[in-house]
Amino acid sequence: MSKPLFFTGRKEVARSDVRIRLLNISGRVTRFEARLDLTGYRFGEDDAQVFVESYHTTYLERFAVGTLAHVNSGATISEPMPGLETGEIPLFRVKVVSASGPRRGVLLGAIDALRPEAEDVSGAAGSLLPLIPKSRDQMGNEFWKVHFNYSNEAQPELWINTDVQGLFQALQNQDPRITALILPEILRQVLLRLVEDQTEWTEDNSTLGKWLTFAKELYEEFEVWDEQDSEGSRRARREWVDNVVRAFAGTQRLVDLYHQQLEARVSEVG
Amino acid sequence: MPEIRALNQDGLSAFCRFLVHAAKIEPTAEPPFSLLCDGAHTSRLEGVASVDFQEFDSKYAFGSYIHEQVHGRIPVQVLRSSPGIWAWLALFYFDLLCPPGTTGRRKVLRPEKYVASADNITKGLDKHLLYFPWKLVWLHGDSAAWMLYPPLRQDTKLLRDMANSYRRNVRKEFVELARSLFFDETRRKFKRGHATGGSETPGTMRRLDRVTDQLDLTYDVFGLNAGELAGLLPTEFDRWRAARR
Repeated sequence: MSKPLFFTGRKEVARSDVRIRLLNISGRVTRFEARLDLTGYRFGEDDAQVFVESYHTTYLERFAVGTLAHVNSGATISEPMPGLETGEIPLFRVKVVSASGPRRGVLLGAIDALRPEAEDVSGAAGSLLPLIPKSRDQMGNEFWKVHFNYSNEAQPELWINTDVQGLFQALQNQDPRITALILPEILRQVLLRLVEDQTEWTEDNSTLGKWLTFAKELYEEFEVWDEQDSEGSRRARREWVDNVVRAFAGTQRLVDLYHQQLEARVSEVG
Repeated sequence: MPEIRALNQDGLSAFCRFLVHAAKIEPTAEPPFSLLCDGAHTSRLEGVASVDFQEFDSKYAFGSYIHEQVHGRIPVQVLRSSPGIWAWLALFYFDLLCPPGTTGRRKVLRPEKYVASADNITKGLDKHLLYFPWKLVWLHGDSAAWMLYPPLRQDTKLLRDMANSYRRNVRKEFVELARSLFFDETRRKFKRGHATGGSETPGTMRRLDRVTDQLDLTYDVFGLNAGELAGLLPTEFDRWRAARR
């Protein structure tokens, strides 16, 4: 079996020290801008190289953005991103890499799975479930679907068929006439995939951790997976998801909200 | 020469129905070639490119041919993200990918080998019999030829593992490292034993992906060349490393 790969003293860069913004044209990302503040980390190598990598499923681009000294001078990094399809929102990682001597190639600092701010795709930045507009070609006759973007972990996205007039805007605006109908099913699909076989409970900063933290506000933690009774454990997980979804719909009073919106609409028309 | 199109949702469904039917019920069933130019089951692309029906003596020959046909004509991001195009091509070349035997029976592989999923990475485009050769040629040119020598229709273990390694196979240095470890330059074939055993068997292509994941936490793996990467590998790869060129 493999020998242990020893820790080399890499520092975790805080998310708050990295800001990445996407510039879009008609839903297609064309460029990103980044501002990094790495002055407080004492990496000890001013000639260390800083790299920004963007990735989305099978897409990956890598940008050498200069030395640590250059980045810490407050420069805004701006790079074109010609390789993305309409609606694709990449994640980013930032690496500070030793550039010379015996430690060449060693990571001095890094941060992964950074979700960028988006200029015209509201809902994408920092959201548990980014809304991603998709063309009719990509969606066919489906109005919406839950898509999992796999990087280091499964990141759920909600794909919206832009051929359905008003649907994307309605979801952006959280219009209860739409959200009441579909959000419980979306929540069910996301949780079923995230907590499938043998997943352990976590409330860390990962995508899974954030979703489980959200679920815990609605319902209790799920049981530990029983290796001796996989079928029973699987059934228990499905029941747990049902209970979370039921609690979500109840807390949000989705049916009442839906009725209120309809009544308001009738009043407006009247 | 027919113009490349994309199977739309209805076309994909019809092709999938045929694949399941031919795999499980009627191996002599006729492929639905009529879908290829049926406007109700296909859509036109952003860009125009054509293909010819011809034999290819390897995956590399196909990858090079299709790259030449689409390069500069169909945007890369469309090719990279549209399962409909690759399903259309799989149907167009179905007699090469899944030729009928002497009795007319076809041995149909798993559906994702012909129709990839856009939203499930385990059945994604890298698993597709035609997409992956194109992708490797597009990204790596003739540096990818060593692993694309098998026949177009063949589903090899090393390529499956390389396709699973979708975060790595975009990197030329990783492909070169895999070549230095698992390819016999004299016999011009994969070394024996590179794919033997399960997912945790030491020293396999699949383990190389996992070990590189570990290295990723401490090294800028994408910035190291193949020799430097090889030097970081644990002892489980020694049997291959000793035989490196």
